Amino acid sequence: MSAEEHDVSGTKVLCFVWLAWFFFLYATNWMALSENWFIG
Amino acid sequence: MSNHANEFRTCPATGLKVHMPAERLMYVYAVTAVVCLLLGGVMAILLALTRWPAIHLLPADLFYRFLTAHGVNMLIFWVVLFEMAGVMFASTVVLSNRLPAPKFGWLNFILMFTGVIMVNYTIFTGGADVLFTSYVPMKAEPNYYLGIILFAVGAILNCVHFLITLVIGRKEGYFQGSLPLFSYGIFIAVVIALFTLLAGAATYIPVWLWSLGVIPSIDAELYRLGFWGFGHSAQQINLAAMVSIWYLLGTLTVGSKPTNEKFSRLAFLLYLFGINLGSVHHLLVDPGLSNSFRVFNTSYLMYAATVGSMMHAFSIPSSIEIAQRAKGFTKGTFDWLVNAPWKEPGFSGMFLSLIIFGFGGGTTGVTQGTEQINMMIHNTLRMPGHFHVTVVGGTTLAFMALTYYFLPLVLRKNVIGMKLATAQIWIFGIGICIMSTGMSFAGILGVPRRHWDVTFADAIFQVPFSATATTMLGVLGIGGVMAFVGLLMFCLIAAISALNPKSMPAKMESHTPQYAKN
Repeated sequence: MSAEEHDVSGTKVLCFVWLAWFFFLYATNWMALSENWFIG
Repeated sequence: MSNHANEFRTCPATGLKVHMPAERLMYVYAVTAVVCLLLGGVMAILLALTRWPAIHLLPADLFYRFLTAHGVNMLIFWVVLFEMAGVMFASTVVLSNRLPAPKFGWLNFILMFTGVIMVNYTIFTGGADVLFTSYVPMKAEPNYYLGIILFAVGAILNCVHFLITLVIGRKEGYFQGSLPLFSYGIFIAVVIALFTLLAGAATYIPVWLWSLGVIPSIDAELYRLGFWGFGHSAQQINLAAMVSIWYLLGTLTVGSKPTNEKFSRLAFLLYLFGINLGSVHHLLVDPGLSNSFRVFNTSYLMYAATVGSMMHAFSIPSSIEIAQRAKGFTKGTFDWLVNAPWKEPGFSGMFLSLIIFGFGGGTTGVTQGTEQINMMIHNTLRMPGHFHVTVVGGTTLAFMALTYYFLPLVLRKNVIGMKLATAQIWIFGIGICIMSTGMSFAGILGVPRRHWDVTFADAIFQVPFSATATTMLGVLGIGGVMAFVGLLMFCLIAAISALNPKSMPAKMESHTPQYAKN
């Protein structure tokens, strides 16, 4: 199988979006619990 | 020639051989599962309209009764019955294998069906207002516990039947080599199911004897430990089954093949060894368990399973991307995704389920499963906010998507209204997301779970919530209504299609074991 047939660049982007979302969620969870920072 | 050679038909679409006795059993399991889903769904909308402060529909007693019925029918009956059909599908149809003991299969179904009837009868006649968890010292009537025991025993025997089917099928030469990935994933689900259901039986049998008056008392802490070996682990069966279905639907809808089978199999193994231990997050304030035990299970071991999910989260979209690019959708980064068959309910349901589970359920689960956060949020609405995007937006949506393939391929029934089916998937998926968002944010603002009246109207001390919390409960209600519409659409499409007396003709063809040793 050639490198082109192994192209999963779209999936990689999705994975990074997910990772960013997860870090955002984790960080804001901590803050939300201490001061309800998330939604006031 | 094998004595069973003439008991097979050939699926015109896939060429797989379907053993007719297995087909009949899958039919009854699937139909009973959908009936339980409908019952649990009707309870759900009544509960959502009660949690919505502007409506506050039910009186207190009915709220707790219906919450019990909702929990048991959705978290146990609907998913496990559907999985029993899936277990039979994975061990027979996928392998063109025969079901070795159909009468044993019927006995198991009767046990489970009897359990469903007994439990629901006891709940609706007011004999078991104990919620899904039925924590002691709350006591239900004996038939409630007996019903769950019968259901669990039927499911255990059906799992044993699955293993026997694999062993005999291989011995007789119906298949050889490794199991296909879907069947392997279901095998992992069955192993998890076996120790989950055994934990359930071991927990409920003493409680049943206690409710009969045979045993004077039950240790509340021991009950909780045993119950969560059953209650939470049951959701891990769903997880393994759901991920297996994602792989299967990827193959059925876009013709994808696992990017790396060994990688995916390893991810399933991580589920087997890691995920059940995460259920200790239910026991974080139980004094009988050591702190090290709690921390170890809710951190290190839970993350082993999380890594498994992350591996699948890469493997499944990448296999779809490779299949789509091979078809010529190679422009840019997302051409393959934009041109995916979104109009097919199977693909929409699979991908939506993957996104909802991955972005909503998995992330909130890992966050809320850790000890520190869990200690603060476990009894708020944030917890149901999490598991409604796992069990409902993830598992149930994937099961719904599979049903639209299960009907024609296995039950030989045409699905009525494929456009309607696709709309159903989106309405249900979006509705659940809205509902869970409302739950999660209301929970963040301190709104308790399992509570009939969060305004505490009759309490001596008032517990005021911010206007945002009340708004979020309204969001919960709106999402709940939308999800219920989607659920009703699913039940109607599935029921009308399945009960249609006109089936596609069965193409009966003799089938003998391909790899039999003479």
